[in-house]
Amino acid sequence: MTDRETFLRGPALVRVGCVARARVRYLVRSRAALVAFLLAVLPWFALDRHDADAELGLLTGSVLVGMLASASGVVADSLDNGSYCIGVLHGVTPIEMLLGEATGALSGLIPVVGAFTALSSTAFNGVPLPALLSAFAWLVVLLLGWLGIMLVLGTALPGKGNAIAMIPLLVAFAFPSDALPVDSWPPLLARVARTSWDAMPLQSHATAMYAAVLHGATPSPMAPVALLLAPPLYLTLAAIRLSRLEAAGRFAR
Amino acid sequence: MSVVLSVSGLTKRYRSGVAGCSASVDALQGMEMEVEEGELVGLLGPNGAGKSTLLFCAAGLLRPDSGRIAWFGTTSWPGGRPPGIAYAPERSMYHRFLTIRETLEFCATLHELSPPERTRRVNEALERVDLATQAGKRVSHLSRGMVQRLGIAQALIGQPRLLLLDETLSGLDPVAARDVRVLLRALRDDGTTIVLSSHDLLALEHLASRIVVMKDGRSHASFDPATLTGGRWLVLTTDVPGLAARLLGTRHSAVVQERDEIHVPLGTSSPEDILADCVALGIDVRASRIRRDDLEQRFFDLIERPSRVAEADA
Repeated sequence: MTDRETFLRGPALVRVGCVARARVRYLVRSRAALVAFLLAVLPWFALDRHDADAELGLLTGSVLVGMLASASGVVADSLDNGSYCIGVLHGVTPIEMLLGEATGALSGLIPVVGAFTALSSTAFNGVPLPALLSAFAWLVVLLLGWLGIMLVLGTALPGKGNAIAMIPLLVAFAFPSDALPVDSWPPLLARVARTSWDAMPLQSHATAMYAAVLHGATPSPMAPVALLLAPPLYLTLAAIRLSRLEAAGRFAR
Repeated sequence: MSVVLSVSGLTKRYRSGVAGCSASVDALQGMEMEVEEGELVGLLGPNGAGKSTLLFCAAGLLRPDSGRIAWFGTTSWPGGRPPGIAYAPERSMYHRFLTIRETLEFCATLHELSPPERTRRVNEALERVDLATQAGKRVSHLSRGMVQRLGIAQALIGQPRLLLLDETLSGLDPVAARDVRVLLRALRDDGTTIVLSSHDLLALEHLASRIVVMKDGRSHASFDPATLTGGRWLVLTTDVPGLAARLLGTRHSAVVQERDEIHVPLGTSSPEDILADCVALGIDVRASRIRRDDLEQRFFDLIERPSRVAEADA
């Protein structure tokens, strides 16, 4: 088996689950899960919500903020403290590591979704269940795309640097491509910039998909494509980066 | 006997700073070493000699800049390292929030062992390193000695053919150090190949089947500690070493000249007798000292002598 074949080898679920369990234990015991929960839930008590769209918009923002805490230091912690080396020596592959850490980080958001279900029972009265589940599915896709970006950043930045780097992205990704200040640019360049921005997992894409499933609105063709492409794209990028890194590179000097 | 680990021409430079251009340290500079099956090789060297870097490279956790590492006779292994290699680090490299038992279960699960086999190996490893009663303690609360023992325990989980141990004997209390020595001896006797870096000269002298002394990222010397006689020598420094060695050789056996020093065995003669002979033979002795042929002395000779010679040359 060559290095390339090892890289492309299918991940073993038992190892993915093992890494995820370790991440969840970290989240619970370090109270990072509690911080994620509070960051995500507190805005619900402060903001007025009157319909399903507003509720979903708030949930999207809350969950993304909660994920900053939950996925803070994902992969980077293991690279920094050397536990990735121990995992590698016992047979874990880069993709298993990434999938495990991502699964663990997402698990930290389960209490958020639980609290959301309890707090939002009235806002979704009258919304058909399949439409609501579809909207949730788009939210999860958006979340996975963001988590993928955090994984890529985790392979490049030490400590909690990935969460810090995500804060400006969190703000920036709230704006659609129309808001880019590129009107004075040459038309071709402006178009490239807007298209590139549209290819990002923007919150506006998710909002467009919520409107599509709840009210039958027509989203831009780029919205579902960008949302669906982001998770595999960033996960692959992170896996390539991690497999090219020296396992003990950050630890051994 | 087959070669388990072969290292040739290994170099490794650590770079730091922006774009790697502000500072660099050459950790390995053409390291050469071979480890045969069943050997317990002791790695000895001053701090910064490159021992830990060598072990990281040998474990497949660092990529050397140049040179070749072959495990079990071949260099091409999936993922850059073969199965059957275990490494126990000098510092804690475990998830701080896991307990000892959870850490070992984590490692055992990664090997895809069945639950009963997993439990059996975890319990066995805990017993071997005497951590069974502390299994519920979190890694973040462990003393250095307990971290060392956890390192050995996790390394044993996969039943390795090659065990790489980095400073495993440091930080242990005397009882724990003795227990670990006994454990390492048992592993060696069971046929596990071990490379152990340590500053514990006494332990290495008694455990190792071969000592490799590293200095400046290279193998400086390699010898069998069984060749250390434990005998004592009087070392004399004189301006006419050649003549002095010949004259003393007429009265004492096995007189050895090394550069400007003469080594006279202290078997039947006392230092006073030998110095009296020097006076009688007209040998002007500038300095004298007693040297014991043990690992500590051999190590100091190997590490310090070149600098002394350089000073003398200057």
